[in-house]
Amino acid sequence: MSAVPHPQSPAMQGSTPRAAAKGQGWDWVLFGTTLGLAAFGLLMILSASSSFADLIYGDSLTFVVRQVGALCIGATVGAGILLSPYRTLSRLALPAYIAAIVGLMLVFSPLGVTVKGATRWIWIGVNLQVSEFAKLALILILSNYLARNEGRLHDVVGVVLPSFGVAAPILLLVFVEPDFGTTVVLSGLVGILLIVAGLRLYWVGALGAIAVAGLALMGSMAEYRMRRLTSFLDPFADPAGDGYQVIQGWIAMSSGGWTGRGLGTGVAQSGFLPEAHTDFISAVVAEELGVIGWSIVIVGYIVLVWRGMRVAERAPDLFGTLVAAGITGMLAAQAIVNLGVVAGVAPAKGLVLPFMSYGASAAVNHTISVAILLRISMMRPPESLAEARS
Amino acid sequence: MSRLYVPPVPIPVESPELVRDRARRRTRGLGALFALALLGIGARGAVLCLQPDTQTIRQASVQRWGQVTIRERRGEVLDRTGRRLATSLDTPSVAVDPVAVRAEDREELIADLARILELDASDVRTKLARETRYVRLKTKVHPATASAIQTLDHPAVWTHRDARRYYPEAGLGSQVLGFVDSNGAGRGGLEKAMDSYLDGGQVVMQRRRDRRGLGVDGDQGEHRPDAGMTVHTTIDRSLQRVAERALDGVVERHEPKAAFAVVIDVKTGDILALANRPTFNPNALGTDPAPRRNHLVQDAIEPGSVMKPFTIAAAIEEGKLEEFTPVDCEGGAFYIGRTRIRDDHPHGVITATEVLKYSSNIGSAKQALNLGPDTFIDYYEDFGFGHRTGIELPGERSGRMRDPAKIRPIELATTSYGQGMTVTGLQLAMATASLGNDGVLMKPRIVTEITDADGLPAWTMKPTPVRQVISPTTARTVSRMMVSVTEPGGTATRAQVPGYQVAGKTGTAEKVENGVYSDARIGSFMGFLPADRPEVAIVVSVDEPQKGSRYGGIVAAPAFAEIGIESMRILGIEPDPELEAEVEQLADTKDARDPLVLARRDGGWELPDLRGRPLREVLAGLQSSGLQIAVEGSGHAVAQSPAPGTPIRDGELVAVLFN
Repeated sequence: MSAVPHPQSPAMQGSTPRAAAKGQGWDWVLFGTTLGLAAFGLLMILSASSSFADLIYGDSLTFVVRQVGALCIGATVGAGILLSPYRTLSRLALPAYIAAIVGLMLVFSPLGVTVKGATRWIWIGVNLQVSEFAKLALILILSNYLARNEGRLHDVVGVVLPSFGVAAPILLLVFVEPDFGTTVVLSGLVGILLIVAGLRLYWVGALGAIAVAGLALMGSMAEYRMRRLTSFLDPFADPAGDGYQVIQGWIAMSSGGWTGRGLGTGVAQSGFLPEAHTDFISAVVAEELGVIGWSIVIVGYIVLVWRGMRVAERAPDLFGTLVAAGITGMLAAQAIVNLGVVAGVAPAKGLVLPFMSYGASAAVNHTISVAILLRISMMRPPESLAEARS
Repeated sequence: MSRLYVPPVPIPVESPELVRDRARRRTRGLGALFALALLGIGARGAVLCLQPDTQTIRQASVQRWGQVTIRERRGEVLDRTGRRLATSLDTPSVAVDPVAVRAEDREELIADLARILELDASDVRTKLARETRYVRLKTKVHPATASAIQTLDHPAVWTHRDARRYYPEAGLGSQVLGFVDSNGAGRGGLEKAMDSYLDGGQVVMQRRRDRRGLGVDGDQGEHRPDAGMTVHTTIDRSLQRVAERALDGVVERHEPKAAFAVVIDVKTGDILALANRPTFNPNALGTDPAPRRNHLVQDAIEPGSVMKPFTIAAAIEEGKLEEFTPVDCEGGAFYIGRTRIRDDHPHGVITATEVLKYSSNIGSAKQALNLGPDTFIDYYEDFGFGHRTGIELPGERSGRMRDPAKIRPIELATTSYGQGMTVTGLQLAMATASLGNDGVLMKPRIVTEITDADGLPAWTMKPTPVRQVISPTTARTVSRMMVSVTEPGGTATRAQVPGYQVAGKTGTAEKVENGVYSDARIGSFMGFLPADRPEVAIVVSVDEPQKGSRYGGIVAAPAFAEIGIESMRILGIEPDPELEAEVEQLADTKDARDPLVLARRDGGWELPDLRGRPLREVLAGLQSSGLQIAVEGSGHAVAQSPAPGTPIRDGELVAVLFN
């Protein structure tokens, strides 16, 4: 029982001066960038999926409509968060954590939906990908725990190891779905939160080494993982198999040039490029809008990272800093891995591109995540920082 | 805040300022790392857009462009009346995108496809279960089947355009037409010679396609479904059939190694028919190249006696000879230096006409010797021998002519009757036609016009005179003399065409094999008709007949007559009224009697009773026996010497008086 609440931990927030809790304007740049990426995403989903959707469902707008619906659900929840007190975030941590664990266990119940050998969804009227929400739950619960132990991160046995215990149920449940990609992202989130919370750098190095070893071990446990892990190095070694998708992405990009072929004129999504409107939507962007479109996406995520980390820096307390850093890290990691896969510098993971790829659960999760960032951005920075900046 | 006693914490708690500052530092650091990673990936992506590596480009072209380039429809080859000799059929293939098949109409679609394509339903079901977006169901279907598929109007099913070369007349004129190989390139005949016009091109059309093979953004470049041009030939389909059938008869009767025939319009030089045996069906190609050979153009053969009319023509044109000038044929043997030349049927002094009629080598040789090598060889070359005719068919040979500066007298003599030189069948036909065309040699014409997709001529060839070889007077004189060849007593009475006068000449050439004259023969007949108003020239050659006779007058002349009769009918040429009457008269008497047969007796013959028999029957009957026949008068035989029943030997003379 070393987790004694620090006087200035979120648990003690009620006692902070009213002035500090009083809001300020939210981060308009973050808001605008998010809105822009989501709108751009809808346009590209329409372009990349309309012929396919028409073929399958007889309605070319099918995917766009679903994505808009998901964004609206996320925005509604997000609006609730924005209207709620800041403290609500830390109070939501435990319920969200429990809900995530229950949801992840439901995946293995009769409600579970299996696609291509992986059980990642539950059917509750719509297909829900629980692991998406588990990311957010993990960020909240771990941030809450680490903030409660502010200043004690050098206590490896008393603080750091128990934090793994907090994360373990979610990681294990996602891992056995199996969802290797999300497990890696979740592990990364644990790492980011520990680093920001103040874990000693040599322990960071040690954890990094353990992570690499873990990756290798997990990779060796299933042959398809190992192949996917290494095939990105030379997609042309198996152009019809493991390398197929990446090569098709490259072909799409190669016909993009500076300005692209024009919206809706891409050839890749006409059956050549699998997952054109989901994981490989950035390749369609590059084909249809060229380097210019590709650069807009890259710049969009850099701005998102910049503003997200700025929110973390200016958060009123360690909990806010950790949540903001975790969310930003989650969005950044997904964007980096997804774009990295398309560019051929990362192994294929099946991760969506935040706000761009089609995917309802991810869209809801990411919208809520950004709403949380905005809620944190509405808080006045602590005085020491305000003084330093004044 | 009441709480239990907590022993002093062994590790001190860091101050919030320290923790927050460190958190901010590390936040910034992580942000910078993320931004750097994004920048790196962004740069990599830009490189992929702007400078894709060669493997990507190759893969892209293979799947998007390489597969989509379609060969345009190949042009047609028509006969002189516009009937199709070679065409291209649409043979579409049918493909399906299994992903686009919805579960609710799956079974219905399977049933429809199986019914229309005549496939097994379970087969179709298996193919539709494949995890791909492109399955070929059937290739080379009938266009009607393809349109039936199209009327299904199902988004998952579509047809590919594809074309196959088809020859509606199968083996008709196949050596002239040639064929198209599996790559769509013309091989042999007009398909090769006119390939650049017939070929619609495959680079004209560029179209990006999606994975199902459908056009993505419309055609890029000019797509002309009818880009291949139409070749209009001089071939007459009906006459070609006649020629082919006549050769079939030759093959059946004599089993030659090869046989070929050509029919020329004497006034224009148009090739109306050109047939070869052996032959092939270009719709079902075999591997044997022999039947694909166009002997008339690609073979240079020793012509033999068919050259004699040209020798005589040269002598007449030079004023050295007239129609009835007596020529001493030396009783069948004549020495040039120490070499003897001989005639198969010895003669004394006969007329120039009879030199042709009886095909005297000696009489012919004397003309060449009289003219001298330069003048004589000049005439041969003017008739086109030794030079390519320039026909638009591949592989034409020029033939070989002796050099007048080096020729020895004996060689000059043999050249005068077609030995020691080679010609092509086509050269011979064109030279023959010039005799019937008032001495004007025409360039052979096989293609009259090539029209593009809009029907506008892209290439035309008018009848082209090469030169006036001999004067019209000389030409008509030679024609008259050549008529005697097919008249009673001549070497080719079998070449007669009822109702029309035929000017012709036989030839039986000895084949040179391995540098020496062998036992093998090429029997030929060349000529034109009607002799007094020539329309067509015909050459028929039979290479190495195995069965029956080897003589041109017997193996080739009947085929000539067969083609001659039909060509007159097809071209609508009125018969000569006088000859027609004779034909009828002949028909009346011919069947009334037993056929004229000579019986063998003591190594010779027993002379039958010839009285009452018509002239041509007597000649035909006695001709093959090798007897000499002296004819006086015409009509029916009234007297003969020796008397009927007399034993008679080869070479002995039989005199018959007709009235």
